[in-house]
Amino acid sequence: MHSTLVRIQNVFGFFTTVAFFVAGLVALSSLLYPANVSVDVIKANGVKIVKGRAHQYYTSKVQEYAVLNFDLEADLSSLFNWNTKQVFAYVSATYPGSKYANNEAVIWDAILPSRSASKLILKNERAKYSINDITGKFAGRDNVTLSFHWNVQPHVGRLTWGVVGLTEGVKFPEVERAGKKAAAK
Amino acid sequence: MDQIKSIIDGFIDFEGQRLAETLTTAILVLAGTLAFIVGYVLSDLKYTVYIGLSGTVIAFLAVVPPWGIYKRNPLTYLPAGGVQVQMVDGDGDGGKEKDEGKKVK
Repeated sequence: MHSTLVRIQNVFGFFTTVAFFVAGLVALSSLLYPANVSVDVIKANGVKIVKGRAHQYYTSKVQEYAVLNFDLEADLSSLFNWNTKQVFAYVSATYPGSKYANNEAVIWDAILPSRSASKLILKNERAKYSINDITGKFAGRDNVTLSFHWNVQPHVGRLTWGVVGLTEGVKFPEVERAGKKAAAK
Repeated sequence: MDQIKSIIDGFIDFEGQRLAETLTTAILVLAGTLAFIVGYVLSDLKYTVYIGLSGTVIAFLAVVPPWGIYKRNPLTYLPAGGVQVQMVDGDGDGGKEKDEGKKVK
């Protein structure tokens, strides 16, 4: 500590140490706030199957798209503490299949930036994303279930995930509009 | 020119160095602790960042410039030439030895 330069180096060096420890404590403090997410309602209201062509350059094949409507009431306020930057919430649909047994696709998502946005009340909300199956068809799948997922992004520390709420299965209906023949095949 | 150089070098004495070391540790640890507690109590990480950074600024201002408080115990060096050492022989010929010493220098 004899000269200015050495003192600058020492103060800055010790500052980084202190900053590291404070950040570590902040990250650990997240453990003091257990996640207590309550999902009161999660329900698929109806599934619509439409035929369509993907807006993608690599395939022009006509395939089935499922559009879901759902109800959701969830309270995520317990996820917001001093170390929460934002929460990513999403709803995914899971359905069985014969060739590919487990299928899951996200149908709706939202970024919740603050505690004031942490109560979700969605009535007959239309899915943001329609699902297309890997086989191109939904025939014979009769057990679509919805689940609600959340992902906490903290200021400091690790990401945490959670999943709540499975609805009872809903059946994929027949294709609604044009192309009924193709669906029946 | 020498004055500018001495300000930039900012040399302080040994006691001052010990004090500067202690102050660095104390100010930064206190600021860090306070930052965590205030942020936690007020439930906002913003306070933690601001208190931590202001503590660091205070530490820099308190420790880096060669304040007078760090120069209160200057070392008094022996006069150049090693007179005292030569005197131990005690032959009373100090003057001569001193001259030799000066020559060496």
